Amino acid sequence: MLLHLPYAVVKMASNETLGQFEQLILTSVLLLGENAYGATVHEKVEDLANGKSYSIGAIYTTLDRLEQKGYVKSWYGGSTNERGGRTKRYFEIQAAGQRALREARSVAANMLTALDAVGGGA
Amino acid sequence: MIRQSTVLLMRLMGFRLRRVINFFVTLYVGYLSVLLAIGLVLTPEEFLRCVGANTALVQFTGLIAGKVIIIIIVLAVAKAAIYVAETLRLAPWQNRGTYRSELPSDAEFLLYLFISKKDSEAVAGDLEERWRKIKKKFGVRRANFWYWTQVIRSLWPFGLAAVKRVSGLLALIEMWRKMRS
Repeated sequence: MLLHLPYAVVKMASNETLGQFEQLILTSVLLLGENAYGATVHEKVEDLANGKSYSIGAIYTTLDRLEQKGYVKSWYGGSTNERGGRTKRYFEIQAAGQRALREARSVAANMLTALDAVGGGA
Repeated sequence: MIRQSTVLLMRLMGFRLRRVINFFVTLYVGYLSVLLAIGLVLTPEEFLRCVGANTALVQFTGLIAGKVIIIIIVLAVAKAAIYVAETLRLAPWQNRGTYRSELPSDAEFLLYLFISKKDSEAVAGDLEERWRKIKKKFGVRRANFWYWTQVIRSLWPFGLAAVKRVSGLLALIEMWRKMRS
């Protein structure tokens, strides 16, 4: 059992399937387009999750992980007075990220169809 | 009830009144200290008799002694209320400063312990941006509460990421992945 643990960890860090939270974040980055930076992504994720609260730490660490997988890229950009002159970290979805989202959507659609068939989606 | 009364009291008191109260409290605390010091040896009346004060003054001192103590207690309570209100950031004069002084800087400092300088600037900026929105809608106390909860809840993911970075765990995972592929 323990021998399989490193493999599971590696699979989690490297495979192509996305967790629900990663899907939420990628969708938010995609929807926000050029205006995707920490605060806006945080707000959008909470909107999409029906108002469920997430910490900014969880958002950033997940975005870092997605960047390591090559799903998003980030860069530091302009600052505004609203944020005390501090820099923003912008994010942009990459082709690999869009592919992973499409795949997640297709899996979710399959699941919905199956649930509808047994009346479990109601 | 106590909180509402405190807020009302603070609203009734302006900035100047606070300074006047501070002055009188300091004065009366000094007076009380002198009385206590003398009281260790003599009562105020005995003291006045000793320094040769006339009978009328001695009688007058005995008459007002109780009232002075009541005034001291009232002023001490007011001083305590001001202290509590300032600590909870309820006092109206605290809104006159810049918003920067209202940001929970202790919470912001915690962020700097776990994140790289550039990221901490971005994260602190994001939190400040939303803090201002919440402050505008719900007031500074709730905005500060939100800020603190965000920082405390972020400590775990940021802390874990920092441990992974420092311990080289990420590099090990990457190496393992390459070996397997």
